[in-house]
Order: sequence, then structure tokens, then C-alpha cells
Amino acid sequence: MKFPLYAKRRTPVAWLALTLLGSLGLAGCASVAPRELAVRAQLPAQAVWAASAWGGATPTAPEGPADDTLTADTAVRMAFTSSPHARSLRAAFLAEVSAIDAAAAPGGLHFSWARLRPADGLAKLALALSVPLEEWLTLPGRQRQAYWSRAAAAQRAAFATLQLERHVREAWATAVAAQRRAALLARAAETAELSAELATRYRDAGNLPPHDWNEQQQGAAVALTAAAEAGVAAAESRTALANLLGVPSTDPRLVLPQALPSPPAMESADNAPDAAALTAALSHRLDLLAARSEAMAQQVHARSRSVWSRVPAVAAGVERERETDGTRLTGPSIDATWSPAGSAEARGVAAQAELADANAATLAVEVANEVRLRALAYRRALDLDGLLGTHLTQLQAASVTAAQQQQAFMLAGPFDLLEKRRVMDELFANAEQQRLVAWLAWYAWQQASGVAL
Amino acid sequence: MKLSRRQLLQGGGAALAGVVATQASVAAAPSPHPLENFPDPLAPAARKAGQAPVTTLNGRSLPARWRDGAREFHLVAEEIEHDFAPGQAGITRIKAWGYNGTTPGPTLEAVEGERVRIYLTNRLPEHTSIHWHGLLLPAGMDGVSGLTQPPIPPGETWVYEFELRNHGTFFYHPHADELLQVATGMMGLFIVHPRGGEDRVDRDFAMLLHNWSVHPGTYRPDPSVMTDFNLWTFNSTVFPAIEPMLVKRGERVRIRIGNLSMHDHPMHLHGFRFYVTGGDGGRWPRHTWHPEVTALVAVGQTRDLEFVADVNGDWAFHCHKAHHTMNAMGHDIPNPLGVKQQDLAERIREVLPGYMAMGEHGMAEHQVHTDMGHMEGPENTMPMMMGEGPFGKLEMGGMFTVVKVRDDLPKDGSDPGWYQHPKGTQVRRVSQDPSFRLK
Repeated sequence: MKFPLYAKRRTPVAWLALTLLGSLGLAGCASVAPRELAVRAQLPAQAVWAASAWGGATPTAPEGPADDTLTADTAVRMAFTSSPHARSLRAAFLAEVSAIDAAAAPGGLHFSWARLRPADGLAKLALALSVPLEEWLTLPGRQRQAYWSRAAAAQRAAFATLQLERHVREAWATAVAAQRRAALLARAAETAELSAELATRYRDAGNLPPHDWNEQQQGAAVALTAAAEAGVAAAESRTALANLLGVPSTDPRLVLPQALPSPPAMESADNAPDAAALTAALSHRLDLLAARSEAMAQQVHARSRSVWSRVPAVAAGVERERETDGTRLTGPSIDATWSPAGSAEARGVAAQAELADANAATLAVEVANEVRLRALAYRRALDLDGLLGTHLTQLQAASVTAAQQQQAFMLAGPFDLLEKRRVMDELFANAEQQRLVAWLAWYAWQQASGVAL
Repeated sequence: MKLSRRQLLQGGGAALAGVVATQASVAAAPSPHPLENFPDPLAPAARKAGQAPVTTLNGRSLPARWRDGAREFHLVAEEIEHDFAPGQAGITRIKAWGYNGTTPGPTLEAVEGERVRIYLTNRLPEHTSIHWHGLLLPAGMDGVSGLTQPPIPPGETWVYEFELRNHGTFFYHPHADELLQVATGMMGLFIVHPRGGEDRVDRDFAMLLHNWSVHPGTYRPDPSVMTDFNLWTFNSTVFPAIEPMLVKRGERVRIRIGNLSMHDHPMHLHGFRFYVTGGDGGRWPRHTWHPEVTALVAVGQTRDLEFVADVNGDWAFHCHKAHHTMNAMGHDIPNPLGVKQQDLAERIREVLPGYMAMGEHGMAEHQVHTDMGHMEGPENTMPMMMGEGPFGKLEMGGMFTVVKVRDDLPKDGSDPGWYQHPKGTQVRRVSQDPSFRLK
């Protein structure tokens, strides 16, 4: 589905004619589209793709590996092409751009016609045609403001698109982790149930005190409860993903991989992002670019208002009347309106521009700090993932092997062995949860840095 | 007491055999201690006393030299590698502390009335001392670190010198950080032969009883364990690696037993009545002897058991505490006897591949599985039951060995093999019907 950015909005012939008329001597207003493309060229590749989704270019979603399972890339592609969330983003963007275009339209014509019929005479006809000069004179400024407003809108839209992508990826990772966790806890519950059943056999043989038997039954109940909760959590996560993708949770394409892959490695230099990384983030973060564009738009607007607020609004035109006695009168007309509020309005607009600029500056500081914070958070999450994924789980696996050997040599009983097996699955479930944390931290760090996910 | 010519010849022959055996054992065990190799200018102590040489099962007696009116020994305390069952499939090799490369350290033999001079070189990482358990000596030679002497620092050599005023079966062990040093294997026998006038024996075996806590998968004894030990040893060796006691029929046999473990041990001999003839107080008066088949050897005690081996056969000799004739086993596991779980085991194997349900019909199947390699046990851990006899598995371990009595023994002192039972002298099957009844 294509959504040409501006062509349709400029389609009406009258608008085109008036634009050409008003543009005589007002350079620049017809070059919006090339400038927009220039703005897009400043975006990172992923954002360019996202932005181009609004502009009619063919989307090029990242391709995932050919697999039966739903990859994160495939999920993102599904979301961009079929999700209602994407549609709502598009609609909101188009609405915003339409409003900008309307505000930046050339001045119109004022036409009036009246037929006055006194009770005892002939009718009087009055016809007036006037042009609001101010609107024509401010057209270049309003076009420049619209240019920056559209840039800001496009950047916000692209940022929102990337956020949608991030949400999809996060939902995908959450669903995979939850599914894995549910499977592991289900197996842990199965092990606990086997242990409880074995306890019953020992009790029936007269070899297990009631207290020990009770402990086994309680252990099984606790494990079953945890498994049930994990199962519900997995279903909820899957539903959340389906909602984002705009498909039923029963969609056959929602076959998730068994486990999350290892999170990407981190260079040691990433611990403390250097000036280049921060500069890159400051030049690539779409929300920051949007804030800056918005500030530019406000500045243009403020400059325009500071000039024109001192000048009365003037409309020039032609009036033609036919009096009741048949006399026809024709002549130019000027209509001027001056308001003492114009100066205050200009100061207000200037303050808004200052506010927008301050907001952009604030955001720039926050972006730099966020990059540092997210890098640190990812480092910690990655370390813990490594600890759980490679170290503790290996140790736990070794402890199961050791318990198996001890049981084989009658050095330990089967309950100890089964408990270690259960604990191992629970630890793996926790490790998967930590891996999810690492992936979420990765997404946050990458997006904070303005890097494509 | 006057010795007859026959006794003198027997004693001399046995003593000669003892010299050969001692030299052979020294040659077989390469020693880093030069003093062990110096020639003994005098006859070995047993020969001098007219006694049979002491056979320390799986061990040896320490050669000595005569210098400046004293029998001189040199002991070196050091960390060593020790295997509880050399030559067996199951291995438990530990880092122990011992003397002159072994645990127990070599047996010291001397004669009552002699002066002994014993050098002790400390190659341990901490100080040590030696207490001569049961010997009557000057207080300053008693070896109690801090009480009768300063501790001997690492790297130093100190000398103990005293006259042997009493005879009997004694042992030596550290009295510095005693708990740890004994638990890690520092001990040895000290046999003082009587000066004369005592009944001689033809075979004189000696052993130290000990217990160890070597947790499965570890390589050092744990000295903090109080009672729940998992290895029970004669001379730091477990069955079936413990040497059998080889005896010719009709010989008079003495078994000297010292107990340095933390448990009392009821030592039981099959096939014979024996007399307890002495302890760490020396030889008991004959009128106090009485026949036994089991003698309790308490912690810190020695006992001498004597009997005449007048019946051929392979006769078990073991501690009668059943857990002491096992190797490492769990003492706090749920009892699997009678637990029907074969069907459940199938399901358990789905989450635990290789799970094996054992013990429903008894524990004997354990050795079958371990011998056949069905089950891998913990690292550096011997199975609970070991040993193969002429009629199947012995299902034993720990404090168990065999007294082999034969009309003739191989001249080279080697094991004569399993006893061949004369026809009509062995138990036989009469029915395979479980409901068999006598008619």
C-alpha cells in the first residue's frame, strides 16, 4: 500500500493555480518535495525505510532467515504491512501533514455579492472581489515554516514507526521467553510430580515418614502452580504480540522459536560511549531531529510574526455596485484591520519558539545521558546473561550429573536427584528471563543510540 | 625362657624370610629417604629377639642402623599420594599426609631394652610432633606439642631418643594438630619385641585400623567429620586390595591390631577361636586369656590376637560392624527395599535419561551393576561393594580380608589362590522350589 506524501494534497486545480499565482516572485515554495527527501537522507537507514513507507517508496523490511518459526524480523514486517497500529500511525501522520499544508496555503480571494431590495424601489446589487495581501506577502515565511513542520512530522512519524518496530521486537522476545519459561517450568512440574509419585511408592512400601511424603507433595503443588502461572503468562505474551501484529493469536504463522538467541556481543569500548558515539546519537535520534525541526519551524514563524504583527491586515480588491436607479459604480477597495494585540501575539510566538528550542536542547542532554545509561544497563544485563547462561547453568547441569552419579553409587537418594533436575529447569527458566532482560536492554540501547534494531 | 633348638631354627628361618621380605618391599617401593636404604649392621629386631618378623599388611618395616649405642630410624613427615585400593578397578586416590611416602608410615621394630634414636624431618606445611603411644619413656620424649616439647616447625629435623622399657604392640602418631594430621593418615605401628622368654609365633601380622572421610569427587580426607566416615581401612587399604594373611596349617599366628579410627571395632575371625594375649600395655598374663571369635578393639587401643591355624580354608577376618565392610555409601538415603518403581522409572527417564531404580529387591545388585559398568559413579570414588571370589561377588569393602590356611604355601610368598574344598565339605543345593518343605 502506497501513501504519497504530498501529491494528493496538492491535487485540486484551483490550489495549483493559486499556488503558481502566488508563487510569482516567491521562490522556494514548489521545492518542498526535494527538501523532504533531503531530510530523509539524514535519517539512519532503518528510519529512511520507515519514513519511505509514507512517501510511496517501496518498503524494504529486513529479511529474516528462512525458517518455519516466526523471527523478529518477520514479525516486524508483518506489523508494518498489516498491523492496525501502522495504519493509525499513517493516518495520524497524514492528518498532521494536511493541517500543515492547510496552514501554509497561499492567500485566497474574498468575494461578496449582495442584492438589496428596498420595499419601494429597484433592487441594489453589490459585488466585491478582494485579495488579502498579508496572506500573500507572508506566504514565503509560512512555506518555510511548513517545510520544517513537515520535516518534524516526518521525523516524528519515523520515530513512531521505529518505536512500533521496537515494541514488536520486544513483544516477540517476551513471547519467546515466556513460551520457553512455560515449557521449562512445565517440565519442572512434571519432575516434581514424578518425585511426589515416587514418594508415594516409598510410603506405600513403608519406607517414608509422613513428613517427608508431605514435603514431596507440597513441592509438586508449588511447581504445578508456578508452571500454570508461566503458562498463562506465555499466553498473554503471545496475545500481546498478536495484537501488535494485527493477527489473531491463533494465527498459524505465530510459531515462535524455542528460545531466545544469545544477545549481541558488546565491545569493551561500549562501556563508556565515546564522543563519536554520542555525536552519532545526537545526529540520528529521530525524536531529537523532530524537536529540532519543530524549533526551526517555530523560529521561522516567530520571525514572520515579529514583522507582520506591526502591519495592519490589508485586503485590496474591486467593488462593483448597481444602484437602484440603474447607475453602475466600479472601483478599487482597500480593507485594513489593525489590532493592538498583534505585538503581544508576536511575543507569544517568539516565546513558543524559545520553548521549542529549549525542549530540543533538553532532549539532546537526555539523549546523551540515555545512551550512557542504556550502554551500562546492557553491559550489566549481558554480564548476568553470560553468568546465568554459561556459568551457573553449566554448574547446575554438572550438579545433576553429580547427583546422578551419587544416586548410581547409592550415595544419595532419588529425591535429591529429582530435585536437582527440577531446580535446573527452574534455573534455566530464570536464565531465559534474564536473557529477555538483556534483549530488552539491547533494544533500548540501540534505539537510544539512534541505531537501527 | 629357653628356646629349643627347633624353635631357634624356626625363628632363624622366619627371621631370614623377614629380612628378604623387608628388603623386597623396600626395593619395590622407591623411597626418597636415603636413610631407609642404609644397611642394618645388626640383625633385624625380630631376629635379635628370636621372634618371627612382623608382616605389616600392605606395608613394611623400616630399616634401621646401629650407631652410638642406639637403633636409629629416620622418619620423614610429608604429603603423599595414596591409593586405597591399588590394582582395583575402582580408584580412590587422595593427597594424604604420611611418613616416608606411605600411610601408615613404616612399622618400627625394636627390642625391649634397646635405646632408640628416631629422627623426624618435617616436610609438612605445618608443624608436627610424634607421640609414642603406649611406650614408657621420659616425659620430654612423649611428643605432645606444647606440653612436653615445642612443635617441630616445617623444614626442621628433630630427634627423639629413649630406652624401650616395655614391649608390646604400640603405634605412633602426631600430637600436634592431631585431629587433622591423624585424619589425613599420619600414623604407624611400633612393635617392641620382648627381650626374651616369651612364646614365639610363626606368623606375626600387624594392622592399623582407621577411618576416612573422602567425600565423593574429592581428593583430600575431611578432618572435620566426627562419625560419618565413608572409608574403613586396614593399614589405609580397603578390601579387596588388602593383602590376605597367608598361613601354613598348624602355625601359630598373631594378629596385632591398633585402632586409630574414631570408632570401636569388633574384629571377628572365622573358623578359629583366638586368645587376646596382649594390648598396648604389653603381653597379658596367661591366666587372663580366654577364647574369643570376636574382640573389640576400642579407639586408641591395640590388641594382639593369637591362634593356631589348624584348619585349612579361606577364612574371613573383618570388623563386625557391617557398615565398616562397605566402601563409600549413603547413610541418609531413603530405603528403597520393597519400593515398586520400575514402571515409574520409565517415566523418570524421560526427564532424567539414565535413571536407574535400584534396591527394590536388596542392595546386592549394586555390585553387579558397578562391576559391569552400567553406572558411572562420582569421580575418585570406589563402589560400595567390591571383590570377586571363587563363587561370585563378595559384596564387601572396607575392613575385610582373608586368612588363607594351607598345607603348603608357595615358596615365593605369593597368594596360593582360592581354597579348593574337599569333596563333601561344602554346602550344596537341595531344591529350587521356593515352597520346599522337609518331608
